[in-house]
Amino acid sequence: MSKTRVVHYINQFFAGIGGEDQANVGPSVVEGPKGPGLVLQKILEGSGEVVATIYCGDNYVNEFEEKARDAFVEYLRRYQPDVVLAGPAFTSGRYGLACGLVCAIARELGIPAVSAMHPENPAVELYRSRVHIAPTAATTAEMLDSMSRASTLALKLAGDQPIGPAAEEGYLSRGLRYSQVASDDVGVRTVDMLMKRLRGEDFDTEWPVPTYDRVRPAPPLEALEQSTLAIVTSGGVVPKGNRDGLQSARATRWYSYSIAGRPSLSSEDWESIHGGFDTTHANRDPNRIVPLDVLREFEARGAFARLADTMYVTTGNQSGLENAIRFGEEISDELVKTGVDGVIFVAT
Amino acid sequence: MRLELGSFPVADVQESDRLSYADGVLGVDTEALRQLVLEGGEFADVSVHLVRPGDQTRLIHVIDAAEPRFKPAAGSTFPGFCGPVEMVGEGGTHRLAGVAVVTTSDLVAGDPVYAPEAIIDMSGPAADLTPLSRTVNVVLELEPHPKYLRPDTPDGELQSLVYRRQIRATELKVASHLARVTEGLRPERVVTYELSKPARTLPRVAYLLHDIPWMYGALSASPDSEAYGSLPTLMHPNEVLDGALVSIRDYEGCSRDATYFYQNPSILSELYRRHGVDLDFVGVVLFTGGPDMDAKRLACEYAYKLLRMLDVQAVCASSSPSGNPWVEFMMFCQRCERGGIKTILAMPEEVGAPEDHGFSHYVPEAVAIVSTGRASQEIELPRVSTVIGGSELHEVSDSPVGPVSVPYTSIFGVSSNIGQSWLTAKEY
Repeated sequence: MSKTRVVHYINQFFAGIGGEDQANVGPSVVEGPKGPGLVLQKILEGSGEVVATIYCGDNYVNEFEEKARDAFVEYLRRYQPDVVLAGPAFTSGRYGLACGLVCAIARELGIPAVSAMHPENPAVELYRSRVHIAPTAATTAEMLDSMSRASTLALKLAGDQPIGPAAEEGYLSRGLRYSQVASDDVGVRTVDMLMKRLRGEDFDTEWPVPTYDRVRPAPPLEALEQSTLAIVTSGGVVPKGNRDGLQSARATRWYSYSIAGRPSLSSEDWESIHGGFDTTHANRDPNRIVPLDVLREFEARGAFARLADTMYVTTGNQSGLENAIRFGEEISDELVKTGVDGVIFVAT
Repeated sequence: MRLELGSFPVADVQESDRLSYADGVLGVDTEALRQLVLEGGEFADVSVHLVRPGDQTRLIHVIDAAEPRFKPAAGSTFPGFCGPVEMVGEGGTHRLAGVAVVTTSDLVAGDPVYAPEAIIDMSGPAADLTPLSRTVNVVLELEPHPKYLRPDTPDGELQSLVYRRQIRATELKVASHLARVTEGLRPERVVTYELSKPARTLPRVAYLLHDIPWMYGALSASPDSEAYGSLPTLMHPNEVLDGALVSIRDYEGCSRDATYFYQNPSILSELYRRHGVDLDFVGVVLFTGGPDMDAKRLACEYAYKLLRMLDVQAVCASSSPSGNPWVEFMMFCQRCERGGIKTILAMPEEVGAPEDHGFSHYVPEAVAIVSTGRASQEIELPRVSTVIGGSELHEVSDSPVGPVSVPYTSIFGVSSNIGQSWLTAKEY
């Protein structure tokens, strides 16, 4: 079996050019291993070979990203590696970003790529979804361990072997979650976790909750009678026939529909395609989901100045938060642009 | 309360001219079952199929499943459905172990539009994921009476609710009928369930079952009824094991809480197994949640109060299988953790692409979660020789004969956290 061709990326410091005073030096490439690449070469031994080492000043990569990118693309095309390994960058932020960029470029060219850095390196958040990153300690003292974790991953990726879960394979989670079959059923796993907690032992949740976020409610409208209101609904009320194909659960889209001149929502023209409740009654009278009839009465009475001509619709049923946040941002952009002061948000 | 659950293991089921049980083989007169199903006038027709693990068979549009049970002394097997409402969980009960009565049906008027596929494969990759692929199944392929195709009943009750109940009533009638074959026979194995006082002091633990089943035949709660939001209540685990709870909802297949799963619960059984050894299992709280924030808060406060009265240090909680109730599930966790009760949650990750975190709602206190899988992920189902339950899938245009790719959402019970499930999700 032929040896895996590895291209290694390091910064100007590890290339032996100099420290901060040399951080503006441009990109270069040399054949064979250099600096920590000698450690890498030793780890790879019979299975792989460092065919070339790319290096560049940390500031240069971050200040002249486009130029650096062109050079990196050219080097990678020239050496045709089976895999790229960048770093380890430990806690160095700019070095981490450069490693991330090199790996991302390699991925764009269809070459697998691995980096290694401390979990708190700022490049982790930016590149973790695109690149396998092996965790390292904060300092270079553990160069050998860090390099060996990264090279194990590199060889697997180069050999087109499946990469298992982050915790088992030793890389930082890319934030992707996939189903798999566990050896024990849910009962055994639940009671095992319970006993660990009760005994004060370490335990790992199988599904970590994200960092907490809170929405602060907007202040009340100062003059409701002078305000334009719009309807936004997660009730899945769409023109009959659902011509846009809005999903009945786990929606990834929202739509806007004109209600200009309509006194109410008739069951001839509108329906709810919401999948989370029985829509029999809603479809008999769609105003019971979106109370256009009542809002028109209030509008006529002068309770508020005007109802906007457009209503915004999605389905709120098992929605993922990411999509829900995006809908909120996109819809509120339109509302602000069209001069809407307040929203009647009709949930179900 | 002492329950003696006697098992009659069944390795195979055969067509027979009369109901029989010998040497692990259940003989079934399918024509007699047909008549039993049709006598109530609720179905236009029914086909009875006998299927076994390893068969190249796919069941689609599955509604529910139940394990056949019989009480050798007097008593209701499924109180409120088969026999009068009276407490279960005490005395002797026979079970046909390794058998399930499985019902399939097409949608009727008023059924949810997300149209659950609910597939059980008897072989192939999906068969590794649910206990109902490992049982010998007596399948009732039901065709609803035309009256159920009209939107509502003369008195305004939703037809879909009435029909769902009729399916369960029929399934449980057949399950009781089959298990009657054990009358006068001695079970091969008897397991005794009793919450006896442990010999030494052990941590007191409860099980919180977050769901809305029929309880003793009564509507404990349903999102389609005003009963959603009834107060949490205390149950003896033996009641759950012995037929007090019946599946009500035809929710997405993956997290459907089949009656079979209440009868063969995973977390509850594990707590029982370790009762007196590692822990002191004190009881079950049935937690139905509620439709609005006040109802949810009240449900959480009330469940927390019951747990305090039970003086528990920790609770294992399995979630209801849907979006809105996950809010009160998390609120419950927060209430308990803040009140000093350690809470372990078991729940499916039903929403989102791999890069989404997948929560509809979460609290920082939810530090111990057991995942029953990311249900939106797809699974490839191979070609089979027989499909039972319909000729087409609702959400996929490919033929159900396969090969066909469906989300885990469509595989019956794979994400159930009440019954046995082996699916989990991991970070990549």
